[in-house]
Amino acid sequence: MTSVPSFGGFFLEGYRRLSGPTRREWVDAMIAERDAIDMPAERRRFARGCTFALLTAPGHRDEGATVMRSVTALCAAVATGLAAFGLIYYPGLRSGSSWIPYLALFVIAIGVYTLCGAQVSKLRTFSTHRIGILAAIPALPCAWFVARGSATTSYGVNLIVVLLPAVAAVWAMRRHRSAASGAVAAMDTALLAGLLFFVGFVWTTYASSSGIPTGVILQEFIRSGTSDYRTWSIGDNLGGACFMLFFVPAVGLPVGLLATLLPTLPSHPSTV
Amino acid sequence: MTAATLAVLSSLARYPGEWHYGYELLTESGLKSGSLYPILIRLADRGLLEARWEDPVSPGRPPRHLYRLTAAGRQLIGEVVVPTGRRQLQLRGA
Repeated sequence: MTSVPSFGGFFLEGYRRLSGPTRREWVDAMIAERDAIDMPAERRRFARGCTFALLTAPGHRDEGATVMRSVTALCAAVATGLAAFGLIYYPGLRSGSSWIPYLALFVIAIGVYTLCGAQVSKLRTFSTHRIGILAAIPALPCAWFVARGSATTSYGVNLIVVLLPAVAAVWAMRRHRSAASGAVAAMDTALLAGLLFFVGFVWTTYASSSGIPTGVILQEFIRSGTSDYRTWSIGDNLGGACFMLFFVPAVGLPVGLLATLLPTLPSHPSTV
Repeated sequence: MTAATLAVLSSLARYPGEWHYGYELLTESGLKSGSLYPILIRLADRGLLEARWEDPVSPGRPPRHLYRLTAAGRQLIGEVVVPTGRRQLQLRGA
């Protein structure tokens, strides 16, 4: 029986490729059962239900899932704490009402990051998640460098951060001889690199906000028309950090997934 | 134990020694697939349910997953589902 192309069907097929060995048998069972249903509408309903079941199922208790969930939650908590600290410690950031939609967007972004982290943690194995987490760590020194460095060099360093998911994908593929493993590692890194960059960038901004501004920055400050340089500088950097919170996964993940199209060595079966 | 889990256990207990398809349990229990599979996974994790792949039936048709209660599952049915059923009967009688 051929499967009807539907969102549920596509999701089940994709999930089967990406899931770890502990959950894959159940996804296979769902797909086989769906294929045995004759009525197309019923088959679609069945696949939709299975999609819901997989998305809402509690996370695995294995080491990899726990580590990935914990690291994502920790990074999200630190990012939220840093944003809250800025809003409390620098009251100028709360002048006017424009900060409210920005804060709402930030809260939504952190929520999406946490949910995605929980979903990605259900896929593949500890070894894959370890690669994803390790590949995201350079985002921290990159953030420090961008926050302190000049605008020209910042673009190059931002590019490095965006390429980290691709590095994770290639690393995991070389290690496990599996494109699915590379895709999951890229997802891990895209999420964590975005959060780590935000944390590193905002932390460095708070720590160095009393530093001496360069001529270019001073000119920008004068053009802004505001009176408090410190608040202006921190607000500007927070805006940049929030942008990178969206930009890193939005660009880095497709780049990482593209990297999984690179050929893997055919001599080993994709067992991990 | 939720009503949905009881419904799945009752469906499995109808023919306790036999293997059941997932879709068969779905129609018998009246649940949706989104509810059935998490319950099956949970029951299997707790050792109350065993699962296996059916032997190939015909070429081009993938084998399906089969489910059956374990001895522990059958014991639980005796302890939980039967008394619950008796209680329901008593309530109906009253």
